[in-house]
Formats: sequence, structure tokens, C-alpha cells
Amino acid sequence: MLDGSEPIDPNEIVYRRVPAGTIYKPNREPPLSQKAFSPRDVDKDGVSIMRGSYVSGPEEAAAEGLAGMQFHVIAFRAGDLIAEGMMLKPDPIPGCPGHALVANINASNRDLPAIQALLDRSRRLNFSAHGPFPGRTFPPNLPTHSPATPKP
Amino acid sequence: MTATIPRPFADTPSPPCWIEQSSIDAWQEIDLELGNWLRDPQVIVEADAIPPTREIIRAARRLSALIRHQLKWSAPSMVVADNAGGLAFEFHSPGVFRMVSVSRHGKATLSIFKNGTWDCTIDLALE
Repeated sequence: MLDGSEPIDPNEIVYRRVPAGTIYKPNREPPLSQKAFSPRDVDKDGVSIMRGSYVSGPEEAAAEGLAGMQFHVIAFRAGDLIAEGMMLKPDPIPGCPGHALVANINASNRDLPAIQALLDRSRRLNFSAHGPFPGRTFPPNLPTHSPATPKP
Repeated sequence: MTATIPRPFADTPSPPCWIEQSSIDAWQEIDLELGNWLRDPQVIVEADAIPPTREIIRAARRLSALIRHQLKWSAPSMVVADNAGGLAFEFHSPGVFRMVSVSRHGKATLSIFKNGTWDCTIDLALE
């Protein structure tokens, strides 16, 4: 049984989740921002993507996002990202075996001209956009529901 | 805070507008977005990303006014958060991508990419 550690095949579909209403705007030209793969400070090992074969579709990929937010899910062919210079690396995590990384785009190198150029090229690739869909994941330090308030 | 636009930036030709017939409306939409973000900067970034502060959003707004009224550039295709506390305006024309960024530290730059390759980055003075 696959556990997410197997290499990413160029023909796999991978998903990049972005907050709705910001990075992807279908009425703009081009519709996808250069910041689609822009790392956060916490992305020290790479930028997260989701392997399409480990979720039922884009909606489930969006569900990994924070509850209360809406997300667009951008689908790429892995081989297209690799050909453009992205290093895709499996990174299964508990509860999310399809998690993977773009390992050569991270918080420490995001300002380099070569990385900024790679971000520019990547959004010109063929992609399909899905959503918006709701995130359904709660941070581990928050309850997933409101506990009943005891009556005095 | 005032912004100074250096000579090389001022000489950069204006890219075309994403809505050809209505650049004014396009700029207004960009400004409206910035105004909305001022009310709640957190809405534009995902968990663990750093949203731009209101000070950075205001600086970006002033910079956008200079680009619009002094340089008379057409509106950018987008204004986006960079996930690291900054903002960027994205301008596109065939083969050329121009990005005007304001970092989380308030540093403003213009970066130009030609055919997917970095060409130059010019510091802009925001003081």
C-alpha cells in the first residue's frame, strides 16, 4: 500500500491551495499571481503541495486549509513544474500522506532573483483552477467544536 | 511618508492595462482592494503567513497613487500579499513582467523580468 513516500511521477496531478480572492482572479490577465508559490516564514523546507492521487479531488485538497477560510485549488501536472525547475519531494505527514513540497522554494531563498523568476514562469504553465472551497482544518491547539457551557 | 521615484523607474514604459477601455476603473478596483485590506489585513493570507501591517498597506496605497498619477501607468493586473508581510503590484505586458513590491520592512523595489528571466531590480525610496 502506498504511504506517500514514493517519488512523484511527472504525470501526477498536484494541487496548490491559495486563499480565495487574492492569488487567483479569473477576470484578470494573467489570472494567477506570481505569488502562487510564495513561501511563508514557516516554509523552511519548501512550499506545500498536495498529490492528487491522495485526495478525492480539489475540494478535499482545500479542506486541508484552515476552517473559516475559502480556498481556490490550482491543479498542475507535476512534470510541468519539474520541467520549469521545481524540485518536487514527497513529504507525507500524519493524517495527510499526500503532502509534498516544492523543496527548492523556501523562506530562505524566496527573495533571490532566480527564485522570483521561477515563480513568474510557474504561473504561466497550464493549470486548472477549482473552487472556492472551504477549509475544514482546525489548528491543533483549538477545539474543533464549542464545548457546551455548563449552566450554573 | 513620501515616495521618491528614481529616474530609471520613471523612464520605464507603461505596461498595458488589463482592462483596456477602463484603466480608471481598474485602478479604482485596486485601491478598493487595498482599502478593504486596511480593515482586516488577515483576510488575504493563509494560516502562518504574515499579513501586511496597516502601515505597509498605507505605504503601498501611496506608492500606487504615484504610479497612477505621476507615471500614468495603466493599472496592475493584481495587488497581492507576499505571505511575508509585504505587498506587490503586478504589471504585465507581452514578454515583460514588472513587480512593484513593498516589503514588510517598508522597502520598495521594482523588479523586471523578461521572458521568465530576472532582468533587474531597482530600489525605490519610501521615506
